[in-house]
Amino acid sequence: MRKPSFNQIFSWWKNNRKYHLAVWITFHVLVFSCFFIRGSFSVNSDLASLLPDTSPVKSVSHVEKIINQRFNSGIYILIGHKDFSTARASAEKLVSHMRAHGGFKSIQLELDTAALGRLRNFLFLHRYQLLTPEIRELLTRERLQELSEKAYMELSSPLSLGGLDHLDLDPFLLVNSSIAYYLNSGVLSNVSLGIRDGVLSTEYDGKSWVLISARTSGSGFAVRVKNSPIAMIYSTTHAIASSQPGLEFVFSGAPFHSYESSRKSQVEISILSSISIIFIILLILFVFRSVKPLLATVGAIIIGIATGLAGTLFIFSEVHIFTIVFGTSLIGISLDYALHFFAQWAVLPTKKTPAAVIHAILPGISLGLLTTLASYLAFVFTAFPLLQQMALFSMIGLASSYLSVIFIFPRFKTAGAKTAARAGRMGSVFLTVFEKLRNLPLAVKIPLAVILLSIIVVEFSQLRLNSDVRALYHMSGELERSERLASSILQHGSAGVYVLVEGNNPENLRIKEERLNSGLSQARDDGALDSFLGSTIFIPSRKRQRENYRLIGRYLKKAVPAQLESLGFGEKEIKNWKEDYRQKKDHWINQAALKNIPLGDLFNILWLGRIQKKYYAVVLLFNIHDIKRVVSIVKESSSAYLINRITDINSTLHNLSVLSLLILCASYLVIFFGLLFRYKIKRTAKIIIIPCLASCLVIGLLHLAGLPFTIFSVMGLILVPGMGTDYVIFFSEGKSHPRSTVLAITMSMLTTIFSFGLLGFTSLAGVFGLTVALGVLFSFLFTPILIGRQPHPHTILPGSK
Amino acid sequence: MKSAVFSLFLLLLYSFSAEAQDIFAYPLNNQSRAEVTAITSRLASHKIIKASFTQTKEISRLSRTFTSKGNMIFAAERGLLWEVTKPFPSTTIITDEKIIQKSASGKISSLSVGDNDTFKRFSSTIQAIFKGDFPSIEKNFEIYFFKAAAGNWIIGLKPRDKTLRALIASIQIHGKIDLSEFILTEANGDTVTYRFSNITYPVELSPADEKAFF
Repeated sequence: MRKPSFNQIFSWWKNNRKYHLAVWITFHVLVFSCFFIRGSFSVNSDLASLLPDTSPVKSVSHVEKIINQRFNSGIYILIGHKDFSTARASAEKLVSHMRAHGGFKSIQLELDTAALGRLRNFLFLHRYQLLTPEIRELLTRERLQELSEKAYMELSSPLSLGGLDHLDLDPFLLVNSSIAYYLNSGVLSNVSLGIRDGVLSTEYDGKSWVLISARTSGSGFAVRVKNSPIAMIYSTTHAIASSQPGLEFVFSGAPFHSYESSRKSQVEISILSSISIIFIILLILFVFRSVKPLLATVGAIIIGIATGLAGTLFIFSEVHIFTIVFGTSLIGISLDYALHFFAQWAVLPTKKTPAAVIHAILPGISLGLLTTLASYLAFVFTAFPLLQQMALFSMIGLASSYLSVIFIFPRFKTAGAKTAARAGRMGSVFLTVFEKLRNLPLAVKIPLAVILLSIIVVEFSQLRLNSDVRALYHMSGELERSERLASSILQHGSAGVYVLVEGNNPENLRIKEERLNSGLSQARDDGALDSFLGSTIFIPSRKRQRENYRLIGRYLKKAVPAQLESLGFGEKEIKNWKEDYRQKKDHWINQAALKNIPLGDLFNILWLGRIQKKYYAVVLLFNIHDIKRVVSIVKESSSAYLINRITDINSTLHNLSVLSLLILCASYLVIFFGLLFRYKIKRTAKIIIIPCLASCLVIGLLHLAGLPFTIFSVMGLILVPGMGTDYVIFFSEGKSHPRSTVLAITMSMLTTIFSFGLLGFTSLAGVFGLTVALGVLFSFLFTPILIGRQPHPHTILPGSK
Repeated sequence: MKSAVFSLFLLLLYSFSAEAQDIFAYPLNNQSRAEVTAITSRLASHKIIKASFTQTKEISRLSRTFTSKGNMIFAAERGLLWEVTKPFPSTTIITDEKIIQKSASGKISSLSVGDNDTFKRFSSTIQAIFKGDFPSIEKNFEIYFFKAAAGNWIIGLKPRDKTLRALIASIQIHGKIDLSEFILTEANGDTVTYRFSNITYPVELSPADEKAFF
């Protein structure tokens, strides 16, 4: 079978030299024009936006994002001191700075104590429409005696304060029952915190803690580093703490994590970029002893990164801060083509033309680009926004570098004798090592193979895919301590678990929520969860309000005279009660009724209202003990969705990892069949087996080192075949000029493992960077050992026919 | 004669209300602090207090008074048991962990308050008063003290916490040797008066009392 060659491409390249610059400019102008037409540049530092959609239902996924934005823009700051008044005064000082900053949508420290009175008034005004489940049950079962006893008990209890003002109009103390119900549901008590001297506070670990809750303004919880409200909080609390011994601040909420990550990423970017660039500069200067390759290479990298960034911004309208971190590794890859060019440029005899250089490297770098693009392309199908961005960023950047090398670099004059001599010497050194590796005796090869295979077999037998999203993100020590302390103090129950209820209109939605709540009430009574909270606790459906009013009329009305008489009231009060009941017939509760009472804010969190064409509300679940029971209750309703953010994300990540492993297999197959057009099957199999073995060894070694096998490991593995096959392809294609080829692939390997190896030191992409760096290193080392000799493919020297 | 009787009545009324209001004209000073400390120390020496009570709730808006009677036990280790016998029997138990209420028909409702800061403070404040825990009382209240010539004393308490002030305006504790009366004035002006009688200080709870605490 006649194998295709790159002669046609080379001929086109050679015959259309006058268009080279135009093609290069057109490509770059096109990408940058698209970016400028889009006209926006934003860097996203939102941690949650890295995560994939978890709900299979599109509308639910959209609503979930809105909920996450609402919840995740919230921050909690606890100020602790052994003296309550010091903690309170420090909280006031911090709040005054926060208000002056203007970066917050809302800040709450002081509670309006008069609001409690307004709440009681609200409950009194709507007592016929707002019946607790217990009162409803007593009425429907006509257990009026129990209801009466309950009121008497309340009346003589040492605990009933301020609740008897309207005893003549509320002789069964329905208002007090509602307050007790709200307390039990966590509406008024906020689980562990109580109201002390007008602020929410609690005692913990010998200190009084005062709570400030706030919501950051702007786009949810994406927090900028410059003029960040979080930075202001850190600096202010630091100043307050230094002037007040014994004062402690605890921070909780997504914006703190976003800020820390952004800040850390920016520092990491600067350090990694600087180290990478310095290393590359030194390496190029050391090998070529000329600034020309250095300037050309750095220029190609800068243009490549800028083009990649513009293309990514055009498609995604924003670029995530972590895409830029990952993109740092692009420096290493995009160098490869430039290095191949300059290795040939330097090592080939000076009389050779730039065309000869291009002829020598074109097959290698073209195949290399295609295999790398094939493996990057796989990322597009992962539905992981960060990786999609990174793939696009790298693909465009690499294409730009490739075009620079084949269209711009040939414009340079060939290297001088000094450069050629130095590069030639370096090429000889590398080639000697390469040959030694290739000629390793069997006595070394066999034990080495046994050891490496043993590592792979043993470690793979214990390997487990870690799909816990928490394994991907490591909080800083201080922030983790802060979150743990906040969790102990605030006693968050089952955070991130809630039910999303969907309805065609507000009434339909409320009826569905009430149906769900009746199941949850039963589950709560059976101990499946501690409590739950939905919007209908404040505004029941019109149907339920009507039912409640009628229940009063049907059962309670006839018991009222006796109850009032037993309390010492007479005919006048009985008549007043009847008149009051009649007047309240159409006294429906609506959102306006919640204005100025402490429940308004809480209702706004639970009631999402209209989103697109439907209406949504949230039912919060606290301390779930039997998740299966809760799941079965939610499943009974076709319009309720249990959202368990962590579990859902973990499950999505697991599916994504499995899918990515399948994509990895597909990448190998694509590369395998692609290379069959160029090489024989035996050779192609050898080319493929090199990155495959290297990947297995990396996973085995990382597992041996105790590192988790996460989605990022899988993503790293996807990159290995693209780059791992490059070396053997370059080597195969460059057999006629081995010194320059080995020089180029050694320099490529060094720059690539250096860039990715540096990623190993980053907080987010450590495993990813190590996987790629080691995968590339092993691929490079296995190439001479495994490749052996092969006949040179069909190529035609320039000028020959 | 009639006018003389009427004048005497007015005088008595005035003197009673003057005494009730005047207590808050006597903030704690060094001398009274020592006396209050002595009183609270004496109270603190009793680990268990048993008494009968008469509770009178005055609701000013309705111009009505509701009176109930019963027995109470305060045990420092267990909490407060409040048993109403008349007119509508019921029992309330307040401990550090929960509030239990038992109706006349025997129905028991329990509210776990172990993790709730408001109830913890409420419970500890009530217990601090019965225990005579002076530092805790002083931390939560402004203290006033008045001692009459006959040896009767009144301790007045005003909540420092403005949240509590939204509910309770003041508390007066009357006594001589033992506690005799609590007067709790709510923010809206309503009052609840607790009069204690048959006060005893047993060393330990009887089996029946133990059982009553559930």
